[in-house]
Amino acid sequence: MAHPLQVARYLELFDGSYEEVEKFFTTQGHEVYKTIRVNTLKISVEELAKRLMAKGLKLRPYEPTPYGLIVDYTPVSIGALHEYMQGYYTIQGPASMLPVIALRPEENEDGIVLDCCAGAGVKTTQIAQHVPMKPILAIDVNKRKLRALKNNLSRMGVLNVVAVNIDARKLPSSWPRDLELPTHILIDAPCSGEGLWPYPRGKWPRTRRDIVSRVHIQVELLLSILRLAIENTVIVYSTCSTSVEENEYVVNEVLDVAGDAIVLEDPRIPGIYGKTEYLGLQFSGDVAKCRRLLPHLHHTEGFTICRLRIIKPVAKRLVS
Amino acid sequence: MQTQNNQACSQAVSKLKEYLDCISAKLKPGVELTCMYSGECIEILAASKKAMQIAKIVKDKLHLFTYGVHVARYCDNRIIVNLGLLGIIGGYSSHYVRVTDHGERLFLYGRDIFEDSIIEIKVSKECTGKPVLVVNTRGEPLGWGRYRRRKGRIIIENIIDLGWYLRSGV
Repeated sequence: MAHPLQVARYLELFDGSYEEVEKFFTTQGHEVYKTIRVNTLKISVEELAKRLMAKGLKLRPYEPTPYGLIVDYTPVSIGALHEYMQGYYTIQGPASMLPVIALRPEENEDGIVLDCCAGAGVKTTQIAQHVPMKPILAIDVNKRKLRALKNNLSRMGVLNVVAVNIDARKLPSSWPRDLELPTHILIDAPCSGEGLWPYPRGKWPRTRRDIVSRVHIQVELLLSILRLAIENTVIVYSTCSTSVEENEYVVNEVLDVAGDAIVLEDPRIPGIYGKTEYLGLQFSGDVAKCRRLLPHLHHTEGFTICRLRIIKPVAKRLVS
Repeated sequence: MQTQNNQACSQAVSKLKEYLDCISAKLKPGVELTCMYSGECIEILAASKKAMQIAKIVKDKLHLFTYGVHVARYCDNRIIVNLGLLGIIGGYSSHYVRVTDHGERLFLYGRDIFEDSIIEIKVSKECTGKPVLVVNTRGEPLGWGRYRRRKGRIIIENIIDLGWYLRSGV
């Protein structure tokens, strides 16, 4: 059951359309694509698809990615197949694959990739598929999650990840002097998880306080990490939340501080445009470049993804 | 302290390489072996060269949790192989057991392997007492076992198998 204020927020998000709000809150888990990500470090998409189809699975490509497969039917639990244990694929939601697609890290540049809030390392191992040679610094404040990340690195055979236990907000002040700065940064921020509403685990009422507490952390996180950014650094800020507060508002707050040092870029992924007006607030027109994925429209979990590029040094502006 | 650690790491890595030689396996290209220290054991990790360089830089200033793939543990002059090792070796040609599809299923449930599930067995005398690599009909590694003979019959006791990734719940 949604919180009344939650319904009011979504009514505002959907421009007063009750029909849209109802569709959002009544979409069920089975309407969201069940997807897997093929670990191309170990096996080709074609070969794995052939093997899984021989076991009775019905699969088709998940078009926005080169390695995602939609599982239309599986005779057994998708996480219990031998190919999963062998690290040939991992279970990853369709929208959850898109922040890394938006990040587009490249092998041919110097520097490292930084994955803040790496958690169990699902997106970290996805980054490794794009840049198997480039070092990836994965950080998380939670040791239990890092243990899961360690297992994922082992299962998926990822050799280029260095995992550090730290709160991302404290990272800039502890950054080793000899360590090169990141060229690409993924901030998959902790959030209210409102985008997971279709699933039983996501169906809990979010109060104003639930949202505000996350927003506070998200703004701090993004502002802190900006201190590590230099000219041309790409930052993808994403959440598995569809609330405007945790996404466009957060990015807008950062744009207010950093001014013309940051531009938003087209993440080149599916989704509807970011909101530029909300509850009487007018955001920078640039936040329209963010992409929102909605369960009832895209058959994905709810997600919001923004791609930022640093065009001028920002660290000094943040100090002042 | 640093020198002592380096020596201990060299010793652990050479022990692991000895074992890999024994099963005639090679490390995949671009894989480097290195160490982290936990209590009285040495954790052997496989990582890319660049990841190793980054780990070296960050460890003094940040809490380095892990890097690359954890492949083995070296305790009391003994190598304890880990599942991560399965993913970084190629070209094994000795000290392995190839099992049937049924045997593969049982082994991945944590069970031992009996003679009727064995398609091919190649146990090296030089590797006596060391873990045997268990592979499926495709030759893909599934885990490690211990070769035993009980009442004249061969049994491969399960040491660790890929099903652990599910069973561990981590």
